[in-house]
Amino acid sequence: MTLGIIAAGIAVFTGIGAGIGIGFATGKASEAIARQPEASGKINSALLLGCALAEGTAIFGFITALLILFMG
Amino acid sequence: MLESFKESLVSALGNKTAFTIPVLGGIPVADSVVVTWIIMALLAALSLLLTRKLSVRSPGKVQTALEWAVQLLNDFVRSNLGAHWRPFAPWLGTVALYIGLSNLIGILGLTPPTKDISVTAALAIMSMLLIYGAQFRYNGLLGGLKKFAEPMPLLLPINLMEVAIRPLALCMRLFGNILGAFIIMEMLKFLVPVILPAVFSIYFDLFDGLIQTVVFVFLTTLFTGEGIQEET
Amino acid sequence: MLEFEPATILFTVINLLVLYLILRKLLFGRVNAVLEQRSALVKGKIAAAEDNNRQAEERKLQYERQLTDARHEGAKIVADAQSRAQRLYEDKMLQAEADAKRLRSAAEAQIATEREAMLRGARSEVAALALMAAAKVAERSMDGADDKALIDTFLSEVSEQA
Repeated sequence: MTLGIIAAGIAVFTGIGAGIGIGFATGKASEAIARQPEASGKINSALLLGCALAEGTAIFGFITALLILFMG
Repeated sequence: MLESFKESLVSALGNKTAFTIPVLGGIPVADSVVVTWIIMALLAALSLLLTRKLSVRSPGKVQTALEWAVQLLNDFVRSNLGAHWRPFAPWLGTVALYIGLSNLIGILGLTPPTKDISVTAALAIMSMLLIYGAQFRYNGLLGGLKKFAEPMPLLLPINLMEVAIRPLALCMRLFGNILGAFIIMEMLKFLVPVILPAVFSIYFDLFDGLIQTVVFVFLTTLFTGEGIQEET
Repeated sequence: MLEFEPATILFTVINLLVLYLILRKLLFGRVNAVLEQRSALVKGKIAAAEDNNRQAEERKLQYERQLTDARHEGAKIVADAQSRAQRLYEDKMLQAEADAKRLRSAAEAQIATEREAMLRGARSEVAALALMAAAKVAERSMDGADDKALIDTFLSEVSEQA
């Protein structure tokens, strides 16, 4: 069980990647909006898509952690 | 005490069965399905009430808001799907309303149906059917198959993998977000029973729930548009 | 928690389809119908307004054409009247000139006949005087026919000399 908890903790580390990715994306999107405020609609939708995809990895890590904790 | 909380959390995470239909060896009807029925009744009643007296010439305040919302949806779908947007808008609107209300209904103390992975799986399956159904419906059998080899034939295996990955990601994203928020809220309620959960509930229930609704509908629309549109 | 429950999936799919049908009929169908009706109404109004504008434009052109026509007509009538008056005037002038000429010629003829008559009278008087004078000279009456002829020849000779 202890091993399982450690494994779950490692799985949740995927959140680091997602956080970095979303941070980068948002920063770049802010820059882009500052440079071209008239294109903010398109930038926002692209940002949303990118964030959703980046967040997906974190979610998969989270699901994996749950699987390990409760199923394993 | 911690042990008892763990027990209660695990039991709260499970999907309880509301009742069992005693045919074919008992069909279990989960809580989420019952809540879905409540949401459906709510939506049907609301739309009946709000669209009771629509007027072409002199719209009231409610009608103006309603028209604004529908127009927003139509414009969004049209800008992403192009010429064939019309049949998709009501479905995407329905999904948006359902997911949005499901995510928000946690505030009322009911179990959000989107916390049940079967519900999100059903939503993802419908999205997948929509995406690939539209791809074959508007490109023909051959054109639909050719879409898998775009933008270059080298990406064919990745595109085929996406058929499974896209709905899985949609399903897991929605489920994981709602479940994560649910777990965090349960822990907060255990640690600080007053005030703090209400503050965080604004973020986790309202904000995150609506964001996930938008993301789900947005991704479904985007993937559908990718399959339909002629260019690239 | 992470197990897929086929019954729930099936229920949710059915629920979604039913909800879709309900909302499509009650919410999106109605609102979209209203939106479409309104856009059709606006389009119809705009088309009608444009039609009216075009008709007004046409009518204006027609009126202007009629006005210029009328103006031309008026000008023509005036010109006609003027030319007719001119012709009438010329006719009258010609007639007056002809009248005047006729009158003058008639007067001239009369004058000529009167003069002739006077001449003749004068001649016969001169002849009578001459006869008388001759009779006085001859101390006899010279009223015989051959005397008279003599006088006449004499007078005509005189007049030829004159």
